[in-house]
Amino acid sequence: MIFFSNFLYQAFIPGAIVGVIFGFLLQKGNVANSDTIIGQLLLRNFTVMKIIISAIAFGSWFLYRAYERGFITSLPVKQLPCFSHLIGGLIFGIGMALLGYCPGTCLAAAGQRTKDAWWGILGMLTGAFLYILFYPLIKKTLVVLPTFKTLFLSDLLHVKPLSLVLIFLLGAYALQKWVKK
Amino acid sequence: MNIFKKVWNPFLVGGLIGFLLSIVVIVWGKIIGFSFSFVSVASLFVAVVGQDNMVFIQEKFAQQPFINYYVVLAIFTIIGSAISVKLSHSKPNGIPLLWKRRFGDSATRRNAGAFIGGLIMMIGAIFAGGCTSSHAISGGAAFAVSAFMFMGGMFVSGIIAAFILYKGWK
Repeated sequence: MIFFSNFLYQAFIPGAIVGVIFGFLLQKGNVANSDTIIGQLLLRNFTVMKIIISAIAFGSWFLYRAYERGFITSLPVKQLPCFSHLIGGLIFGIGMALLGYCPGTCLAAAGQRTKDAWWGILGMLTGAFLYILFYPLIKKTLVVLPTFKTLFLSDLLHVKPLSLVLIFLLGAYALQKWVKK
Repeated sequence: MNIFKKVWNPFLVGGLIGFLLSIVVIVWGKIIGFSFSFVSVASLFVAVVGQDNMVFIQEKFAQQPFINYYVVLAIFTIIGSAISVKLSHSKPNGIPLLWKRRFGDSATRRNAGAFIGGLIMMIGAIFAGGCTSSHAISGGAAFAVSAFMFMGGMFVSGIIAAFILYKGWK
């Protein structure tokens, strides 16, 4: 019974609400379409960039306001060896160019009844399966990689987080104004 | 915000995603991410097959169940997208246009490409500790250095790979 109520409040309710809204937004943003994502990688269509920049701009605005006022005590930051992010990103990009979706948009594309997205999901599950099998080996390289001391970009650049928010907002505005596609 | 319209302005979508992700962090203390959903389902499969003594599963799933928030999130993302399609009466996409122009209209070839691409992508995502949504967008909104390193790597190799695959230089 405790497990069930935990699952309901900790997993099902947030997962269902956020998932429906997020899937809806991805579909409306036209990023559940492989051509949009490949178009971004071929630098012909900047929809993905626009969505990421404006999501960071508004998201960081709300997050840092909440943080300053004490609504949240910590910010969502991953603490892994720093170069694993870079190496992982490099591997991720190759897969994304081939698949044409990222994990979230692949799910949205599946909801859009695009058949290849289901094969992408199957491929991702297989990838996760292989990772679990080879994890003891991979862990050795993860330990070797150095850890990053500075966690936040604002600390690295010695600026206030809110001035970075402003830069991202201006960037989003400039993209909207000058990049048509 | 016309819910019946097929495509929204990317800034509206981005802004709403930013709002949503901050709500998720503030209200539930979670993030929006999908790589962990795939990891959870794959781990569940491994555990059911009988290998629940794997190092990875012992490390990640000692504290939480296999069917967790991220799995529910992934399933409902599919549903949310299906609702959006239903409301705007869009037709299902076949083989992507760019792929068709480059690799022909063989469905088998496209599905094989999608499968291999997904496999490589997920290995990269787990190695980096997140995908575009969790790492680039949620971490980016927290101005985490890791998020920008991930995004840099993703776009550099993605652009190079896409230009090679699609012969974009010609």
